[in-house]
Amino acid sequence: MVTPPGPSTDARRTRPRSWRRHAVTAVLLAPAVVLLVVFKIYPLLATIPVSLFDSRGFGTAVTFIGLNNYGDLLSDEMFQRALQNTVLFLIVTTIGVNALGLLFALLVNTPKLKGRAFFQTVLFLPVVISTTATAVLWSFLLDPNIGLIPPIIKFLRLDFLLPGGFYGDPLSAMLTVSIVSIWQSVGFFMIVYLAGLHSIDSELYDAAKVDGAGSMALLTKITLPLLRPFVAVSLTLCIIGGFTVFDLIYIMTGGGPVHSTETLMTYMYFVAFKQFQEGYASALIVFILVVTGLLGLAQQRKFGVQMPKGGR
Amino acid sequence: MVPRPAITLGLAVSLIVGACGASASPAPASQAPVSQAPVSGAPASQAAGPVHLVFVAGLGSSGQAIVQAQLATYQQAHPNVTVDFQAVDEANLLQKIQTLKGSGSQMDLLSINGDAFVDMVSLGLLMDITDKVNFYDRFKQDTFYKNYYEINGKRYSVPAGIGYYFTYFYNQALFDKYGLKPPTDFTGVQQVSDTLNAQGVLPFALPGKFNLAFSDFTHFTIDQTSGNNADQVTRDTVAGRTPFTDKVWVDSWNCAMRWVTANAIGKNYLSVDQTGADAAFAAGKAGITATGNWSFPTYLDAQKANPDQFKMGVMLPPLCPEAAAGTKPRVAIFPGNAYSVYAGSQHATEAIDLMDFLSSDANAEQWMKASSTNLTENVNASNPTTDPTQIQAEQWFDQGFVSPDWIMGITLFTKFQDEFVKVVQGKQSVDQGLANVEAYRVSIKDQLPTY
Repeated sequence: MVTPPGPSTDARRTRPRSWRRHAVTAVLLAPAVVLLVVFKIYPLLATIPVSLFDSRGFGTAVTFIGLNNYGDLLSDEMFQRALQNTVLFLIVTTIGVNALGLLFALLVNTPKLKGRAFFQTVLFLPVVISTTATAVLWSFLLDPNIGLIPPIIKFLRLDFLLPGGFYGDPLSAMLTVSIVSIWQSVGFFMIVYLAGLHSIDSELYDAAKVDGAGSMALLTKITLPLLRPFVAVSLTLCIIGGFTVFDLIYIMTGGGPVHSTETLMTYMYFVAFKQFQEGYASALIVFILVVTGLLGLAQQRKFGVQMPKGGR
Repeated sequence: MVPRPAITLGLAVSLIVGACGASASPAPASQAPVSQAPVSGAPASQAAGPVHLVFVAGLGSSGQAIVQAQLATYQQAHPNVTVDFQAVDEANLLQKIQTLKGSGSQMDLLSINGDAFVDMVSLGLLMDITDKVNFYDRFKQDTFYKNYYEINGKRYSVPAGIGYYFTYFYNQALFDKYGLKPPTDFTGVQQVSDTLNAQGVLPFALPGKFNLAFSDFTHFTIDQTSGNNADQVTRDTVAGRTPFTDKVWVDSWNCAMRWVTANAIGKNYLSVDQTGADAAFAAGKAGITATGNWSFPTYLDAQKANPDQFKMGVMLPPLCPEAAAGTKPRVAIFPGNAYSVYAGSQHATEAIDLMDFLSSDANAEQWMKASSTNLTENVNASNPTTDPTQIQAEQWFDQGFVSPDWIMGITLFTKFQDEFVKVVQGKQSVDQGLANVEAYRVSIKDQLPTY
C-alpha cells in the first residue's frame, strides 16, 4: 500500500519511531555516561576545590590559600621545565604519528598492494601491546651494554650521535621516549586515516582523473582536504595524549635522567605521591585540564568537524 | 548544525578516550564482616567475637608468599580473626596507604620498607607503640634495631627479623683473567678502570637512569669522611646540626666523584637501569657493580650457568683519600622490612598481637631462608649457608653502618641524589650541589625528624 504524502502523516509516523530510537540510544549510552561521570567528570571537578588548599598527606588538616597554588606554578622551575618537556613531546609525537599514520594509511590503501591485511596487522600490533610491556621491551632494546640496537648504531658508525647512550642528554632522552611513543601509537592513527580514506567517494577520484589530475593533485586537492575532520580528531587525541602522557615515560625513564624527561603528568605524580602536596598537584591537574581543553577547542575551530559529503 | 556523522565520530572518540584512559582500579578493600572494639589489655587471640584486620604490605612476590603462609598459620590458631592481606609493590606502598587513608578505608597492620619509614612517621601514619611492645629482647643486636625503628625517642616499628647489606660486587672470573685485584683505594680503582677500559669491558656497571643509583658511591664515602660515623652525621644533618655544606659532606662528594674522574662508570651510565646493570655484570660485560645481598640468588645462578664468564665476589668499598686516619671501609646496612600498626587502626590490640606473631623467631627465620642469605640478627636463626663469600659478607654486615637514605627518608634523599647527578654531569660544583640540598632541607625541615 502506498501511503499518501503529507506533513501531518509524516509527523505522526516519525515521532514515535524517533522517540523509540532516542530511548534506545540513551539506554545504550547510559552505562558509559554513568562511568564517565562517576570516574572522570566528578573527580575532575572535585579537583578544583582541592587546588585551593594547602595540604600535605591525604586526609590531614588543610588550609585554604585561595589561588596561591596557581601563583606558585608560575615561579616553579620544575613545573616550567616539565611544561617545556611536555610541549616538546607533544610536537614530536603529533608530527610523527600523523605524518607516519597518514603515510601508512595511503600505502595500505593502495588497491594493488598484496598482503594488505598483513601490513595492517603488523602496523597495528604495537597498539594492542600494553604500554608497560612496550616500555620494558624498549628499555632492554636500547640498553647500551646488553641491548640489540646500540651495536647496530655502532656498526653503522652513528654512535657519535649518542655518546651517552639514548638517555645521555635531555634532548636524546626526550626524543627516545617520543619515538617509542610514536612506534606504539602510529597504528591507531593509521586506522583513523584509513577510515577517512574509505569515506571518500571514489567517484571524486574518477572524475578528477578524467579531468587529467595526477597522483599528487589527487592527494592535495581531494584526499587531504576531505581528511580534515579526521586530522582534527587525530590532533585532538594527540593533544590529550601528549599532555597526559605518563606510563611510558614513568617506566622508561622515571622522568629522568635528572628530570630531563619530566612531563606535567610525571611531575604531578611526583608532587602528589612523593611529596604529598595534593593541593599543589590538583592545581597542576586543573592547569593541564584547562590547557588541553583550550587547545582542543582552538583546533576544532581551525579545522571544524565537517564530514566529507557522501561520507559515512 | 553539526552533521550526525560528526556527532557519532565525536562520541566514539570520546568513549575511546574514556576507555583508553581508564585504568584497572584495585578492588576496594573487602568489608569487615563484623567489627569489634579492641579488647584493651587482653591478648587478641582470646577475643571472643570475630575481628577483621586489614594488613597492607609492601612486599615482592616471594615476601608475599612467606607472609601469606604465616597468616594462614595465625588464623588457624585464631579462628575468630580474619585478615584481609593487601600486598603492593614496595615502591607504591606509601601511595597505597595514603590513598586508603584518604578514602577512609580500614587499615590495621602495615609491612613497610625501611626507606619509607621516616616519611611515614612524618605523615603521622604509624602508631606510637613505645609502651605497647617489648619484644626487642629476642634480637641479638637490640640497640641496633631500637635505634632505627625509633624516631625522637618513640618507637614505631618492629623488624621482620632480617636486615640487608649493600656493598660492591666484582666479577672474580674477569678480574682473574686480567690479573686484577679488588681495589682497596682509588689508585686501585684507576688501575682497574684503565685495564678494563682497554679491554672494552665496562669497569663499573652503574644504573644511572634512575638517579638513586648514585647512592652506590655516596653511602660509603660519607661513612669514611665522617670517620665511620655516618649514622650520627646523617642524623645531625637531617636535624640541622651539621649542614650539608659542612666539610664532611663536601669531602664525601669529592671522594665519590673519584669514580667518575677515573672513567670507571662509562659515558652512557645515564642510559642504564638496574636490570641492565645486573645483566651486563652477570654476562661478564662489566667488572664491578653495587648491590645488596638480595642479589645473591641471581648472581649464584649466573655463576652456575657460566662459571668461566662469571664468579661472584664481594668487596669492601675503596678507602677515600679524604678519610680520617684510622677509618675503615664498611658496608651499608638497611635495617629492612618492619611491621607497624596504622595510626588510625580501630583494632590496635589485635594488630599488635598479629605483629608479635609475624616478627617471632620462627617467622623471622623463614624470611632468612627464603631470601637465600644468612644475614639476620635473629639470635635463634640457623645459618643455612657454607658459601665463603656469604660468610665473609655476614662478618662485614655485623660491622656496617645504616645507609644514609634510610635516615634521610625518600623525600630528602631524592633531592640529595638529583643534585649529585648534576655534579657528575658537570652542571654544577660540589659546593653548589650541596648548598642546593641544604636549602631544600631547610624548606622541608618541619617534615623531618629532629633526632
